[in-house]
Amino acid sequence: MTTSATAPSSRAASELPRTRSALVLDWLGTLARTVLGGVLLVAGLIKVADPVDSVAAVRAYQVLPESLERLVGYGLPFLEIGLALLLVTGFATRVAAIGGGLLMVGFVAGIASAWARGLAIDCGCFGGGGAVDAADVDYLVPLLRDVGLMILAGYLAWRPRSVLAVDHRPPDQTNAEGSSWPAR
Amino acid sequence: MAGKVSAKQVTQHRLVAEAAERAARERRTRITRVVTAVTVLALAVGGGVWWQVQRSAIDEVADPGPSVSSELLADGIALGGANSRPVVDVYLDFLCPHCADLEERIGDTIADLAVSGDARVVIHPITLIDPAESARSAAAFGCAAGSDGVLGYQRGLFDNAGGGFSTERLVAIGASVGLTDAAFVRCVQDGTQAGWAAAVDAAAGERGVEGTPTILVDGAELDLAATVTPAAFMAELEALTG
Repeated sequence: MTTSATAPSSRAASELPRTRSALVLDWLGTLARTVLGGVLLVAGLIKVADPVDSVAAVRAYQVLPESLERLVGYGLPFLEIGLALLLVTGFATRVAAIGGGLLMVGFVAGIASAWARGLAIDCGCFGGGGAVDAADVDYLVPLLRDVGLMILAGYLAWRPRSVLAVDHRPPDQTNAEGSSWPAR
Repeated sequence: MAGKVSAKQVTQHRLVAEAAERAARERRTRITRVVTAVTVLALAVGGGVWWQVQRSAIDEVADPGPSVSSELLADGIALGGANSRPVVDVYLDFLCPHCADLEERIGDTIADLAVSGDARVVIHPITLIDPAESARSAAAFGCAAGSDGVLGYQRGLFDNAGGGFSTERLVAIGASVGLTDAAFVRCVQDGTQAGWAAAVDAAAGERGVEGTPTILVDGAELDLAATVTPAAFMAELEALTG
């Protein structure tokens, strides 16, 4: 290619200043993907195994009409697993992060509302759920955890770039043109 | 000089064009990824819901067994005549796999005893496997007392234990064996017999019954091999009652 001599120099001017801080942020993105995706994957897999419990956990919140409780109880674990796989592989990271973030907003709202209404339930975040003894009620830990995950999701939605992601493959030496690594 | 400038311009134009092309390509890739991701999510959730619905569907009971009158006792449900002897006490948990197995093996034999009046059969649904679901199924079973569909409901519960005992499923299992009257449905939904189920469980404990399935004949425990046959069961019954 005749442009091969000039292209690297132009790229060097506009794109190569990948500073150390940018690289740190990239790895931070990878960490955020792994944590958010990992938690969602575990939560989803546990709940898939027991759909009856999953529906019961949804019902315990007493927010949805009965017709939707089953749909959410059955579907939510699969949504969690699907989002988790996208996040862990770094495929369509921004969309997956927005989805995961909205899920966390929903969870935080649900837990906060259960707390405010004085319900004595388990959050059912990782299976289980339903009514528990008043002494065993713990809303603070799941609430803080979900807020933390919400922040990770927000970060990824704002800056989806990360390393070890399908979205941003490392530069392909044989075809620098087709690479999306240094570009964008 | 003019030639040099124009060559530079050509190169710049080409670079701009390449950059634009690259940007367009990346945009297409990004859109494709987003569409793929959303499609995958939609299929996963849709397929998942469908799968769970299939999994939790109620299996129709092929043979609900004979109709037999029933009576609610403080510690169980009695089938057939009040004066029939011997008394055969059956302790079970609808979630217990061995109980389901036993029902399959000698359920008909025990039902025949109740129908013919050759024994007074008392079913005690105790809470052993799962504090919530065993108790809920026992309470629902109590709601069937007084009807003549107790044996059918018992089979329906065993057949559908794999899908769990949510309140809706307990109602649906009842409907699949003909227990459709409003009183039964309300009783299951309200957990009316929850207290009775707890009393059944406590009475079994007081009597020393620790596991399921347990069968007592006039108070003497039957030795239930996992491979028990109707003939072996009848032989043991006769040996115990003389």
